[in-house]
Amino acid sequence: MSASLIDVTTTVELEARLPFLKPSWYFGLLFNQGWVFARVLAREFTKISPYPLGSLAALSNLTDWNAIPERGVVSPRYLLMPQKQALIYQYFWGVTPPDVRIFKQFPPRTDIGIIIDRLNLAGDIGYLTGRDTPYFYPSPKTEQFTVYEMYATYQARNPVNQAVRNVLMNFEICKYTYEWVRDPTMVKDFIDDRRKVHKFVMGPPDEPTSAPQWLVTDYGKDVLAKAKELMR
Amino acid sequence: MPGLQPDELREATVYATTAWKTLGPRLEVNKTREIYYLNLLNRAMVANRVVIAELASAGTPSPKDQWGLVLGDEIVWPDELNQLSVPLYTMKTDTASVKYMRVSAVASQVWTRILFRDIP
Repeated sequence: MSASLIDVTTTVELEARLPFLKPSWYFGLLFNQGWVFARVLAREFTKISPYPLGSLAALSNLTDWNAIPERGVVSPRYLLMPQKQALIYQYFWGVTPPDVRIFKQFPPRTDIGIIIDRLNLAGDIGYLTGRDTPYFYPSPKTEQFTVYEMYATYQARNPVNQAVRNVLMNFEICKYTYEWVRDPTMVKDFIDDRRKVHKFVMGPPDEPTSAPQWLVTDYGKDVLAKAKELMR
Repeated sequence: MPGLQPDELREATVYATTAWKTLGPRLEVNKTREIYYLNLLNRAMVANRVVIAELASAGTPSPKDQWGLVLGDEIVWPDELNQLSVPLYTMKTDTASVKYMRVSAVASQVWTRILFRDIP
């Protein structure tokens, strides 16, 4: 195990461990309608730490899935969802205490990490613990992209027979401005991996989620259809 | 097993008497408990002996270790914990049964404190 658990929040260390994007890099998101590709224009690091999910009794889970809303306001907005179309977020998270299991749904009500059945919070499938992704040392496995009108929800389970006083999450976030890439030659190169591109699947790989309507309109329905054709 | 993380250890305390006392929560199935730190304080006005044992869900606790304590003695073990520390005791459960850690003191009145973690 690494000797330095403390000075992990420097940008250099963050980027060495976690696949954050740099300006002018390309990335692609796979939706149900097909790949959309874009180029990063500018970025800004930020974080939410600590984000408390609250206490857990022995061998129990949270009452509801948590979409990481703002805290202490009357009508909370979701912190991990971009508030405008011009931004895309990429983030990684860690959790403490290490025993606690975190389950994910993205988009909400779509189980991530299932093998045969739906997620069973009392079961042993489809979660990450604080050992997989330590609070100060998030794992690349926790990667998530969010666009305007799309966010993930999380659920916590305490598998030990002693109450957990507070489950804390640490989100390392990078906000990107971007421009769409629609050029068919480039799209073809991205799909075939002939150009450097960072790809992320929005949801389960066999059934990615549908892109929000604004994105389909903005990127272009015909470009999406063309990309889907190129995938074959 | 992975090394210790800074936020990983949990605490359990009990005042040991001549009767068996449970130390820490129940260990669930398919888990390993590692005890990394032990602190004993003899508050009996005589020499004392502490027995540390594990207990399946029923039956007699099976002793794992004994500590002799002279009058007013305190034992802190080890002096220091770091990421390379190895556990003092381990306790494992199988697919079906749970376990408890038990402690007793021959002359009663021993303050007992451990730091431990449960891992799969």
